[in-house]
Amino acid sequence: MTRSSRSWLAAGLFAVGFAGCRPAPGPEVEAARLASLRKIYDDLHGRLEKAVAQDPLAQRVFADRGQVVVAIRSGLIEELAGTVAQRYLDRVSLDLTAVEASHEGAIHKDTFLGRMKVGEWAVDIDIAELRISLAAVQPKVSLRADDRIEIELPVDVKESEGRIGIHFSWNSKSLANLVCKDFDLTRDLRGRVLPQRHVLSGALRIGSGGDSFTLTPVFPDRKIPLKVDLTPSSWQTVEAALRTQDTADRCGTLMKPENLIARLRELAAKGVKVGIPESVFRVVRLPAHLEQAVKIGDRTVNLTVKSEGLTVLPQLLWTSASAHVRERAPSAP
Amino acid sequence: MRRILAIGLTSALLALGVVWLLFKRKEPPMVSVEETLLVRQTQELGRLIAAAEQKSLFDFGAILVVVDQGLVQDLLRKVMPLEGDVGGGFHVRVDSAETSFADGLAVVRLDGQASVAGKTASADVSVYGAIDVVELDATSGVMKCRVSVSGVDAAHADVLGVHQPVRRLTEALTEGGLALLLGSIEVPVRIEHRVSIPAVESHRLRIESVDLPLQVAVEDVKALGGKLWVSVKTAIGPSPAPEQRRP
Repeated sequence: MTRSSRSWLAAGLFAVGFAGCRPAPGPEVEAARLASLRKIYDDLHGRLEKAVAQDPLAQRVFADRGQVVVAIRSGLIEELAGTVAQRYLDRVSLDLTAVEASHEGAIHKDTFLGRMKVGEWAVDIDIAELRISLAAVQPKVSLRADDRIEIELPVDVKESEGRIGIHFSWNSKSLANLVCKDFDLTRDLRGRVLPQRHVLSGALRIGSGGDSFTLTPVFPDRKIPLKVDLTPSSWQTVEAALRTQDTADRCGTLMKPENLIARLRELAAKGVKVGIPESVFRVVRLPAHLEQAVKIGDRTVNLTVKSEGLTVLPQLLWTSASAHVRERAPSAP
Repeated sequence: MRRILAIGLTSALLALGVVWLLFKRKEPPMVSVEETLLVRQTQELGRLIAAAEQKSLFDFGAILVVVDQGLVQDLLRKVMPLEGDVGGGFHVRVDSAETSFADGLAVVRLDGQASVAGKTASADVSVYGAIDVVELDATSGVMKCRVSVSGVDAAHADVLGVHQPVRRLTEALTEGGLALLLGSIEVPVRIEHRVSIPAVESHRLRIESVDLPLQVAVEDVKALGGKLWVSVKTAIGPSPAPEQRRP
């Protein structure tokens, strides 16, 4: 055997020995490795326990007896409440037909007997046909500690036109009653709603409806003063009608139509009180729910999962639920 | 001639060595389940401590869901026994389950028997798994967990009468066997992918429905203190184009 071949042989035997004859780690080596791992583990475990003990959120979870805890950041609730309110009320169409309003007043005059009430007037407005469109603007929302989200929702009312009936009546008083006749005027006119913005102020009450968490709107004052106006030609019609009474026996002189027109314009600018229907304000379900049945693989297990109430913490909505596993549901045939 | 023989012998030995090396690489010595779990737990503990040092241990997205290990254990026990072929010729029956959510690992232990098709003998086995994936069902939004195999313990597996039974059973369970047997585990929490309000259509009032899409996804899962802590990130999605909105 040459030197070269001996070298090859030696190399081959070394390779085989290295590959196959390396001793497997014995039980002592394995035990030592495990002991070392356990020591590292114990050390890390202790450090983690200390860190967890200092964390208020963790302590709250551990103190909670519920088997399921769901915590939602207030930022998400506020964002959802605001966005849903804005998008939902972005395209509302409300029919104001049959909405009524009335105003009345009195006219006084200085006479030789002193200042006397010469008559009373009343105007009744009856919306015969008018539909308005509302569009909500980004609201201001803030989660309060009392399970409520305060909300201020600006709503833009778009300009629209329709039919408005006006009934004007004059009732003479005192001495004027002796010489003046009472009168009534009714006219069917064209009216319009002016573009305007109102702010609806209220709250969303956070509740737990068994399996889900809900936001229920609470808006005690749902009336808005809707600014309306008559078309220029309708104003002319009203003025013309009042002037027909501007005769000596009808006391139009006492009444002064131009003053009444100015008064009516003031009233229109103040607005007609319109109530936003309660059905506009809908309950919103938050996206987190508790389930009363779950699947393990293809088997269904029924549970009784019950929310133990809601707590509003700083920056957090907190709920915990008790869960009792009831029975395995029968398999589908 | 002798030189040729020597070279031939050397080459044969070398080839044998290489083949053996390759063979050894394919089958490394079995690591005990205890060691596997300890290694993983120390890794996870390191991750949790790093987060604690950065004061972000319990930082969560928009929604935090915490589920107790006892609930998952009760759910698993309610579907016992689990029985079926798990691949590799093995048949497994699971009679009991235990859960331990601690130190970064949500361990699920399933105890039962394993047998080989065509043979009557069976061996007691303990399958150790860990909840590695928590996700929200794309359709229903129900939270569900998937368990992966960490290891198998079998005291007297030799009675099964096959070569390397624990290794082969572990491979069979890892390669889809456990998924066949157990499937995913749902927890009783659902995070919906949308917030909806139905339309109002009356003579006086008309309001279109709102269907607000949400982008929700599990962003982090921790197991500690006997509980599974699931952080869910949530963002309001873009509003659909008007023609795509529901009537």
